[in-house]
Amino acid sequence: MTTDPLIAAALLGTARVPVLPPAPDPMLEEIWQAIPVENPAAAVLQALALTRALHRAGTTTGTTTDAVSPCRPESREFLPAAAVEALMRLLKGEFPEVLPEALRLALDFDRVAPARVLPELLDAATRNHHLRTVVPALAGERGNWIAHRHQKYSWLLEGSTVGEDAWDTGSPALRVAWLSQTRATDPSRAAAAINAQWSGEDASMRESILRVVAESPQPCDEEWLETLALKDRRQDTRDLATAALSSLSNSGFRRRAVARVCERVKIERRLLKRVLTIMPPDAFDPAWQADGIKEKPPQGTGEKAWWLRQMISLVPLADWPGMLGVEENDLFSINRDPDWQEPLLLGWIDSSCRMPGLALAPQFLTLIIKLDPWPPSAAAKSIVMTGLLESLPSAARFDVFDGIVRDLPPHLALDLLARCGEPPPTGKGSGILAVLGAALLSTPTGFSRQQARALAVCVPYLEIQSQLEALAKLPELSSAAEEFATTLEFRRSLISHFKLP
Amino acid sequence: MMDSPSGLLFDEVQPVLTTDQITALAPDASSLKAGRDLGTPRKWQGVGGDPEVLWGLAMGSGKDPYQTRVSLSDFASKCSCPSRKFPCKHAIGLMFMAAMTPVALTETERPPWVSEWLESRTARDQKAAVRAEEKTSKPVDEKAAAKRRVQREGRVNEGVALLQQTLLDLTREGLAAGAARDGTAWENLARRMIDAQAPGLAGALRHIADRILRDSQVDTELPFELGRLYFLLQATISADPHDESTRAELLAQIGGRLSEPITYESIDDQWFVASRQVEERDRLITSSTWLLGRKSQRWAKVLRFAPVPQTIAEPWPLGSTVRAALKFQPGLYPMRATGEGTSDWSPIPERQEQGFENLLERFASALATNPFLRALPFFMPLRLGELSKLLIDTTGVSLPWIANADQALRVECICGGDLTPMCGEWDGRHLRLLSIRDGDAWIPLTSQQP
Repeated sequence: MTTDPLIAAALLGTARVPVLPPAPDPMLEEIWQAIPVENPAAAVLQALALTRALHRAGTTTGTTTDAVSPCRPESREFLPAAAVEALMRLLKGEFPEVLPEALRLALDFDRVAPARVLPELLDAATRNHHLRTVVPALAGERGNWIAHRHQKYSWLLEGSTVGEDAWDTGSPALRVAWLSQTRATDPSRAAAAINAQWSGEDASMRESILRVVAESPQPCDEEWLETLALKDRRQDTRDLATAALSSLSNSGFRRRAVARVCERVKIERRLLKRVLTIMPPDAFDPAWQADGIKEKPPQGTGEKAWWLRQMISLVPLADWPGMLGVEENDLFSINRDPDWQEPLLLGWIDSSCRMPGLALAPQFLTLIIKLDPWPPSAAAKSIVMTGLLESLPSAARFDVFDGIVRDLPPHLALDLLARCGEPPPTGKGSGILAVLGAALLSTPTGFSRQQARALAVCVPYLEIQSQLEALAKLPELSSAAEEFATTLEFRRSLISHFKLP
Repeated sequence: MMDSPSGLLFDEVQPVLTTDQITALAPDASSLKAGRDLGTPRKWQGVGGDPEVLWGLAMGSGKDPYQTRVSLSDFASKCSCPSRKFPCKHAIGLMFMAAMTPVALTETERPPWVSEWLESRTARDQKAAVRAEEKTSKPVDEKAAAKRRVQREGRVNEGVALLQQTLLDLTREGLAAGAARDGTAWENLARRMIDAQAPGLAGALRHIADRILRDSQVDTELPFELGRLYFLLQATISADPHDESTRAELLAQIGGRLSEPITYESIDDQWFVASRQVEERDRLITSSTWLLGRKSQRWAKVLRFAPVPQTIAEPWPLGSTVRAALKFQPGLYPMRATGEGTSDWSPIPERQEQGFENLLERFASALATNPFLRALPFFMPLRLGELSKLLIDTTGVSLPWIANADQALRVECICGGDLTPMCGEWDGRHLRLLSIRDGDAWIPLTSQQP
């Protein structure tokens, strides 16, 4: 509530306060006397005009010593102006599929993004975790400085070098940074630190810890993963713990998972065929719950099939050849018990999604391709296949691609390529690129405009020009092919900005 | 030499063409997107250009390619495509290609259809000039003009009287609640001021609806603003008819213009294009540009208008320097100016205002000269304060700064705790930033498109 009588008169109304209050400042005394008071409203309005001018003209500066502490200067050069403009177009939503490539190019160029780009750049990486590996270097000192000041960008600090006290006194991001840093040199110490403080951590910090550890779990992590993380309240944390324990080659968890399945599967000879036979569990063992196996099946699924699927999903596919005494290449060609084939396949698919790095990707992909019909309760086929392909190094991925491309329907092959979102290394990927070339020549192309942009990203740098020339020879382009060509042209222009003079 | 922005056509010759300018020309987002997509040599034949004009044949879906040409003097364009948008996507695409891929402009000899277009434009301009000459030399029907003037003045006076009475009524009833706090009521009143041919008053009322009613200090600011408005109305009624500056100022505030010939003050200088804000209101696009004279240190405000769906062709890119003799419209503290000139990419000015004390002094004397003044521009290096929204000058004193979250973050990113040259406005309460320096680039902090 105001204490200024003039403002109070205006707010309450001159019908209630009909008298003009005295001048608020001696400087206004003289002119105040000249205000006609016959009409109180007019008098108040004129007095307000004078007071406003006095206030506006009389504002004084404040003295403050709390200026923002300066950021350290950048040690690297900034991106060239043309590259900045292209990057801003991408960050504002044009050609979103090209953004990861642009960021990689900028990183390889060893330059820093100018500060005006940072809000969009940091927001993009805050939304999309996949961009976070390249953004810190590109954001430079200024990005680091901003991350210290804004909680929403604190993820930027997770890869920074921190002091020894960061684990005990730092922000969540700095604690994660300490964890990564310490695990690289002394994983046992990091495991001990986690073990000691787990009960005091909040749920999101526990998940953050698991995300760091699940990338490369160490034997010293097994104890706290088993005793603490596997029993966490948050499902995501438990899933990460399960994946971490499953990928530890000799963990108790993995041994239990293998033992559970091992006693229920075997290979039998029937006539001339080998058959993978399965004996589902008769009853639910409450001990399984500790390893994340749930008793109650979802609607429409039988109990035994549900238990079996979960048991199988906890065993890395890479453990199956040893478990059954077969070669990796034979595992998926053996006939499967038709009665329990579906839970077996679902378990394998779940396992490959959970641990794609241990899923015998080249072999399992050959099975998946031929799997028809696809089990309706499994994750989408293209997503499962993408996960398997992404688990492989780039060269191996395109070797596998070339091996399976003939067995894939073209639309699925191109969908997978679009999802991979990167060009094949030199000398690889000729098969899938041939499929792409053929699709571009046909009308309709069979892919959407969004897929067209993603596929344009998969054309190797050296082939952009020839691909554009081939398209220019066509009498007419479909809208998808047009989008493909436009994206290629943008990439050509983008790449030119990152060439050294 | 300041780094010219990317997308600069014909670096050493005039006029310059930046992607920001082209973007501002696009009539809508779809035209901009289509134009950008067309800005590639693959979709063109016979593309060429010289400092005066760009041309090319756009490969469309029709049998014959579209003949597209763009004049670089005023960004006027013509295309044989059937689009009703202006400029069409082909003209925008041609400009983008010229800005982004100037090497694609291989043709140097103008085709006949380009020369003919330029000749027809020249002929049309000449005819228009002759018509204008005839119009000015034609004896004016004084009687009819006087009648129109009286009619207009009558409408304005009615509007002024209506608004004055409304302000008195509201003040009598109290400004704490009721109609005084109703944005729709102010908007309706603004429409009535438009009908009364007083667009300046309409703008003042919309300022109340849009800003004052949303101000955290509305209890203080609303009475003050109504006081200012009442003072303006009172001054309009009782102004000395022989004081040309006061009459011009009051007319400018109300939104009218002097009926007799105006005496302009002309200042020849190199003007730094310090800020630009483009807004749309009631299907009218307004571009407001602050220019700072490098020698004179005078500030000039250049306004351009265009009705939707037209767009404003801005000949002077933000951050460039314009050589021009600007004509200042008369007023109590003249800042509104018009003029023509060519721009280049001289360095960002070094000579800047000394600090906030100087700004406050300048504002106080400006307000003493023109009590209707709302804000004054500034250009000086500033740094961020840590705790609240404060900006600190080189001497260590501070003034409050108001900004939305996006702008605050961008300024924080760009400043990084260092002193950074900025341009903005001071309204007696807050600093509002309009543009800022980032390295060699001059960055807008306000909307550059309607």
